[in-house]
Amino acid sequence: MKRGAFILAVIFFIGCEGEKKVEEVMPDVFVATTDYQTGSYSLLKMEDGNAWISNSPIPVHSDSVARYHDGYIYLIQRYGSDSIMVIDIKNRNFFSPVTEFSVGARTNPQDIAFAGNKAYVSRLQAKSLLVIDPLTGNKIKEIDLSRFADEDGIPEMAGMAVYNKRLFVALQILDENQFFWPPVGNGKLIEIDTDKDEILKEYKLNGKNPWSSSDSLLQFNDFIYLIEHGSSFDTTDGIVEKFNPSDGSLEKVTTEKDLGGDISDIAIFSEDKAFAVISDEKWNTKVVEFNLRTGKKTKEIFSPEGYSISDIEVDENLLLISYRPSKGKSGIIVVNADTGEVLTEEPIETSLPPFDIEVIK
Amino acid sequence: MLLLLLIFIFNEIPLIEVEGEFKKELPLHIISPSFKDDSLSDALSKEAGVTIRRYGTEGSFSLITIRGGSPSHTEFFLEGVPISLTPYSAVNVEDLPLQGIGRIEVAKDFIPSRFSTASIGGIINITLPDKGKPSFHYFRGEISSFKTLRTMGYSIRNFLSHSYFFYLDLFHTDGDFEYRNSNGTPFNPYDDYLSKRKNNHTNRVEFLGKYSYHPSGAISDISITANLFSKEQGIAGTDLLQAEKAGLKTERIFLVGEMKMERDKLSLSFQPFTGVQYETFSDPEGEVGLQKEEVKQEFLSWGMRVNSSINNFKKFQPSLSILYSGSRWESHWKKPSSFSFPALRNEMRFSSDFGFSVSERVFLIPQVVFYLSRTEGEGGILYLYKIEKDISSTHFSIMPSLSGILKFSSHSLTINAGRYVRIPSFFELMGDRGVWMGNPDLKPEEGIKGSIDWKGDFKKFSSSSGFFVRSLKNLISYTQNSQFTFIAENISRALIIGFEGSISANFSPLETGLNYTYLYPEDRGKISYLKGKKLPLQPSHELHYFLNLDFPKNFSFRYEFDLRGETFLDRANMRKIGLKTEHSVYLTKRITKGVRIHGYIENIADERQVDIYSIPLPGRRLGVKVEGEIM
Repeated sequence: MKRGAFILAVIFFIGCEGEKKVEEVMPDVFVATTDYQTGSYSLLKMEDGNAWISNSPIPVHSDSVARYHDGYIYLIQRYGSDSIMVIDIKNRNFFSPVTEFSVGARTNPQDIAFAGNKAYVSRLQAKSLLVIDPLTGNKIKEIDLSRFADEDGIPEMAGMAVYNKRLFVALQILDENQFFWPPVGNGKLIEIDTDKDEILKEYKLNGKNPWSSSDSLLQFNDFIYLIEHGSSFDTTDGIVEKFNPSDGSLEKVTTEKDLGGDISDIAIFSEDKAFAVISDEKWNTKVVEFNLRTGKKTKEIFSPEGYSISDIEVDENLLLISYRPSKGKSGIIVVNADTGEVLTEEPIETSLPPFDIEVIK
Repeated sequence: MLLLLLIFIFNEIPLIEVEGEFKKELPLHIISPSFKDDSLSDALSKEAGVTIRRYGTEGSFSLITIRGGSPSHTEFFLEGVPISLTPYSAVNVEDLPLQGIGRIEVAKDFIPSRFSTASIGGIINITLPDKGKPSFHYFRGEISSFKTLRTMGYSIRNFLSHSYFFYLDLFHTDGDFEYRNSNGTPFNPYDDYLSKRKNNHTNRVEFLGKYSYHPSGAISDISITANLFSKEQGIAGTDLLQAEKAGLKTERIFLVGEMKMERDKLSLSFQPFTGVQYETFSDPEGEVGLQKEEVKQEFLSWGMRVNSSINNFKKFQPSLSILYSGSRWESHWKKPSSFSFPALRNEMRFSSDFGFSVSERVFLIPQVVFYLSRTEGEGGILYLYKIEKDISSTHFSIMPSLSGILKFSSHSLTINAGRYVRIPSFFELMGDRGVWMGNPDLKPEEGIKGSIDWKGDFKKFSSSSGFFVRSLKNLISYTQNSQFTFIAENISRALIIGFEGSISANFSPLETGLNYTYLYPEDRGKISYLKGKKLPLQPSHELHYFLNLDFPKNFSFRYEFDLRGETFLDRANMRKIGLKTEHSVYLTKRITKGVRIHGYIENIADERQVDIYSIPLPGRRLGVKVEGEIM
């Protein structure tokens, strides 16, 4: 199977780019794709707002997100597969997974964070944080977080970040016994010592439902940014906060009221400029630019119809938008992050509609 | 060509027979289930052009498609009465009455007006067994793998002007077969392990009774038919995420009355009907979907069908059918929140066909179906964002078709062409119970269909072949999503082209036969990454072969071979499944007159290719069956 996939990959690469050879190519963007029935992934080499692209011939779980670390993509295959696939990017072994391991059936993994030779896997429907060897999947231990849970007993772990050997795990605190799992209290951030794997501290957030639609907790200039999404049916109750891991302080960055809709993702370009994906009351998503210092919206960048934007990422001076409309072409929209100008006339098509963009840096 | 050559070599063509009076020729295909067919899906799976997708063990769940359509295209009838008007039959073949007995009429393309539909997926009409005999009593007991037990019997009695039919079927299976669990990591075979299916049981009781009175006046037949059905089953979940507590209970009562009037020149029938069905889905731990759910579905249907046929003309035979039906659907959600969705639909169908005898050998049957419906209500637990949506609409459509039949000797050539429209069913609009999600945004599907079918009967051979094409707009198709639930979606354009052929020969004591179907189902929709892909779960090649041998001392042997070609489990054509072959053998010994014992091994090689992504299927199956009949 693996050998077959590799041969296919080679043929694919050579076929896609007649003059380039597979060994010459080093993609800089990984895109997890899905039509919600089947998942796959595409690899992009960005070239001045355009891209050289190669689509994986192998199917993966239809609900997957990607994390890049130390030459490998860790494809987190969420509920229904509950596993992680490891793809070797640094050796250009793109379509033949190094390994694939389970993190526990029905646990719904959300994020993976790395500290030394260990990795931590947050699992939305489990009581404990999993500690593993990231290249083999071998379990090292579990850290029980159930004491931070609400009445349903599950703390709903989401995105994570590592800062100075300390792991920060966001807890959503949702009620799994109600429709659409509404948040029942403010979210929490748990600090863990990664040397001893011991819980150090609990921080109560000022908003509800720290969201990790497809990304880890965003880190910029020694701060950890948290999207506290609130209810998915309320476009005014969410906020973005920045957490200072040095002193444990929290500061509000912007709100859903300021940006004009439910915030599902943010990407930071500079100390002044950031972007957010918001959805209005009619479930139309758009990308807006806002001032990171004041929290005020400064510009609308991309406003298609429908719930069609799943992720944004900054890649140097480009803003990449994962665009998946219900009709027409789906793919990656490229924006000049400095000027806000949309550079692509049509989306750069991926194998299946893009879901999660991971910049390989 | 080879087939024709064989026919001429054997010189089997009989003399030409010319019918003396006009009789409208309707191209219905008749299936008589053999002794080994425990279910309707068993009997139909051997037919050319018919595809069965199984979700597990016998009795649990099967979907059927005809000539590349989708499961909800095929309409089901019991003794000519439309039972597709209730939601169960459009989805689960295993819940249909008269499993494995009776006679099955299949119309794949041209559908006679008495069925009041222009369905693109054909119709299946299940009829009662052996009505002509004075009295007939049948019993069957069976035990087979996975702790499966079944007893079934029926009794027919005709006396004076009265007749009755009773049928009782009791079925149980644990369905606890073993399978290889991929542990959610298909690229890593080293962590696979053996699992046993849990919570896969089914308990089913079904009763069907029909009483008929045959007076001697203008009214030739008065009857009432009652069907009572109760089923309780576990929902096993996927291969990785086995459910232990999720379950589904189904209960229904269906009543049909009929009054037939037959005169020399006119036949007329009235069929009032009503039915009620309750389904309770319970998933207390959120094992099947993400929500912890309990929902009860209530479905009430009622209506009247009037059929008439006039035999007053020498070369012309009109038939008219009017069908009114009303249906009310209500979903009562108890968990996680308490609310309900009621919806109401009234439908009127008028269909008529006119059989013309152009010459002794050529018949033309133009047909038209008028369809009017009004739907009111709200529905749809849809994705994570919308809870309800207005589904109220009025729909009117006209579906004309033309069928031409050329008969020569014992051959017939049938050419059909017609238009087809179908509005989404309640089931498709509103889903049912967590596994099947509603989609209130569905549009009506429409298309044109055409076919050429040839059929030939000879002394020892019979053979048929057909070519068919469907061009569809807004095809309604179920799609499996990441949470292993299913949702009906419109495929804006689709093209289905196919060929099917069958041949059977009877050289007693040897009987043999072969069916083959080729399908080319293409997604021609506007979605760029799907355009040009093959529609999922529609294998390009399907083949069924059987061989029967009768031996001295009342022994007989049957061998069956089934082949399903490569196909895709998903619309994006990334999940390909390979060739699937199954070999099965059956041995029968007649003990005394009317009593037989059967032993069988099905799927000898333990083939485990799935029909649906992540739903494992049982492999080798052994069983013993005793059947007896008294006349």
